[in-house]
Amino acid sequence: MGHPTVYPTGVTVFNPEKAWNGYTILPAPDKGALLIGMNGHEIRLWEDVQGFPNKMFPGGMLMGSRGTRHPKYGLQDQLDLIQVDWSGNVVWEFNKAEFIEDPGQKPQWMARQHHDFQREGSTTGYYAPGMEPKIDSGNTLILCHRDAQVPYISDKPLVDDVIYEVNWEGEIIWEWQCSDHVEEMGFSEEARNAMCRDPNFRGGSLIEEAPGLGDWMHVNSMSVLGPNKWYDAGDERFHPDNIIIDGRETNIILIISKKTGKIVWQVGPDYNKPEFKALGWIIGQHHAHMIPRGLPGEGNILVYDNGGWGGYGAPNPGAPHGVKVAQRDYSRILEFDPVTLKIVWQYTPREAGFLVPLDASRFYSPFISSAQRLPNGNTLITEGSDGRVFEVTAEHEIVWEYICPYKGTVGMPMNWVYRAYRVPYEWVPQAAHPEHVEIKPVNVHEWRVPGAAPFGAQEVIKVEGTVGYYAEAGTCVGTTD
Amino acid sequence: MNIILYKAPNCLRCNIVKSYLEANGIPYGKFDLADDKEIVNKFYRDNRARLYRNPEGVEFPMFHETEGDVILQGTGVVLAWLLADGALDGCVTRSDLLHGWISGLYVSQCPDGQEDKFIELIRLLSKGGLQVCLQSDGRKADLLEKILSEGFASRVILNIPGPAALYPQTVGGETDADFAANLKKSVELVKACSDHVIRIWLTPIKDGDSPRWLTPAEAGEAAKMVADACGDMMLPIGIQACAETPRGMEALDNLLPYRSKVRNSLPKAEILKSEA
Repeated sequence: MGHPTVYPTGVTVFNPEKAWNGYTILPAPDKGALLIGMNGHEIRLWEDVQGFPNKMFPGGMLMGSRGTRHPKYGLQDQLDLIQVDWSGNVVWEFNKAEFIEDPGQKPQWMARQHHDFQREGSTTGYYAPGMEPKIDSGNTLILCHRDAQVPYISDKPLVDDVIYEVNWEGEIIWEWQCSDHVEEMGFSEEARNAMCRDPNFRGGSLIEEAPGLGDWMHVNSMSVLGPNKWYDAGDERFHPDNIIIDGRETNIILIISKKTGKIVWQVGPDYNKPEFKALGWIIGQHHAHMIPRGLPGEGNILVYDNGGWGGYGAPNPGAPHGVKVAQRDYSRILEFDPVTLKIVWQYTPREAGFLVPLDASRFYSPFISSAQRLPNGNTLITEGSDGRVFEVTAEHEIVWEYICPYKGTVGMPMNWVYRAYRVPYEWVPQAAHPEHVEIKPVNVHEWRVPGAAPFGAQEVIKVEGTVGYYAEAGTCVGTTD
Repeated sequence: MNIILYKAPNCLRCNIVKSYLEANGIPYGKFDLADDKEIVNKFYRDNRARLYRNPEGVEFPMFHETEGDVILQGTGVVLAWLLADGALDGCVTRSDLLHGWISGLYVSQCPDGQEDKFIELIRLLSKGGLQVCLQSDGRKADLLEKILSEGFASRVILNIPGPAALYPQTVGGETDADFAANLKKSVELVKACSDHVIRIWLTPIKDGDSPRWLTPAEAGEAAKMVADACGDMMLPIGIQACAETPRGMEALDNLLPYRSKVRNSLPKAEILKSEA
């Protein structure tokens, strides 16, 4: 799609009456952890505190990391996970997962954290009534990387996903490794064949001469189910301690038993199966989690279904080697019932007002991104690749929108936002939040940059015999509505 | 001595004992399972409380010295008795390994003055065609060096059962003033073997009437002892619990707290999944 080279940044829409007002924390590219107000005031920047993701906890506590491993030697490995206070003092940290000795680099302990973590007290790390993450005690679940050789997957070296549970002293007390459970995931022979040949091999793709590693699953979210109505009704699959993850590269969302490590619930990898038909193909998804108790939709699964490309299977014209076989050039936010596997709410290009598929890629982030359910039923959506964070009501009205003004200058030259969270004001008592000033949507027909001519033809000529336009007129490509 | 050897046909382990007896002119009688099945079975049935079965059946050879009514089983144990008349009991036990391998041979527990006989035992086993798995706890590094220098061991395991102060309660015997030097030398010797394991070895500790496991903190102390002795914090080391849990003790299912403590001194520590 054609995107303008000129566009406003910062907050572009704000309806104080309909939005769930608070601060928003996000990782600004190559800048650090940025806390903004509803009108876009940049309240505080924790410079160079990276966020994979950044989260705000009560007391003005920030979660993030000091930095990443040199990309020549690792893929997205964060050095550590730290909790810093309002003034930037480190009050908790974890790095003792592996002692790494990369050539030419300082030998050091490294967490190899990536994509997610959860502190005891909260299931998702975002606000839900009565579920505050602990800030001076408690265990932390941390999603990390570990190198592996798993012949069932491939003969190539893999970068595997592992979940650590770490106590307040920084010691690992529980762990779960993804590849240990690959045989439970139901891959077809076609998928295994493709995965064996190319387990999302990333050799040299990030930096010249980087060693090759197969990021076969690419888990990009990890959260706890917490108390929920399904378990209350006797469904053991949804034990509150169980953990939900999603694998971007396999299109799988799954729940593991905290007690046994076994997979107890799963959607994907093949959405052509009858039980998944109502969901449609979930592709390259991010941030799949159970909506915490106390929030509208509690117990349902909320996921940013990116589209883009993902999955292993039979070769097709778009994926001649059977890798990234499912493809779609728009995104969907899905809220679905984990028992019936029926969609109960969604935000797709259709709800955004775009024709599908003609104009659908106007809502599209093929990587990163997230969705957070808010207490008033709104949903905060991070359409990450173009740095757009926006809040929609249950009726799909946009009541807040922000475009990240920061563009990567060292890393990727994009204004991307990995994941943003709305944070209640009371979690940041140190700041006095700015007054709310309504920002009505600009009429883009008339909005002009300086020097541009105003909207409208200077002269209008009528031609005899013209018949006007039809609704639903035929186009080169039909809509799927 | 009045010796009867109960053997199985084509049994390498039995033949090693048989060869030793014959080479040293020791008279013995023998029964073979192939020819004397009822006699062999009767001996087993009559003495089953003093005999054991390995995962694949009765361990051969079985050995009976009738004057003293000494019943023994397994090549290492029988040869040790023949060589040292019980003096090697503390350092030679039943083998947990099958298929051409033999274990249960503990260098560090060899009594002072019995070193030559222990070496002779290892030589007989190795020359007899078995692959020898030797275990050390860091003591008697010189003895380990002699055995390794002759190429008798195919695999060496260095077990660290706890900090030095707990050796009497874990593996028995004291550690002396030269222990750190012995440990350092043992680490170097074991590392040089192509097939080796160095591990924090979690075994029950005799602690009064109720045995207990080594604690994570004690494992951490043991790791520091190793790191201090060998001066190599990058030493790859495993952590493993013995497979058998004594009655009254809970099995050690979660070794992660041990790994955390051990990694404070030896960052490359990993949990070993199955018993080496």
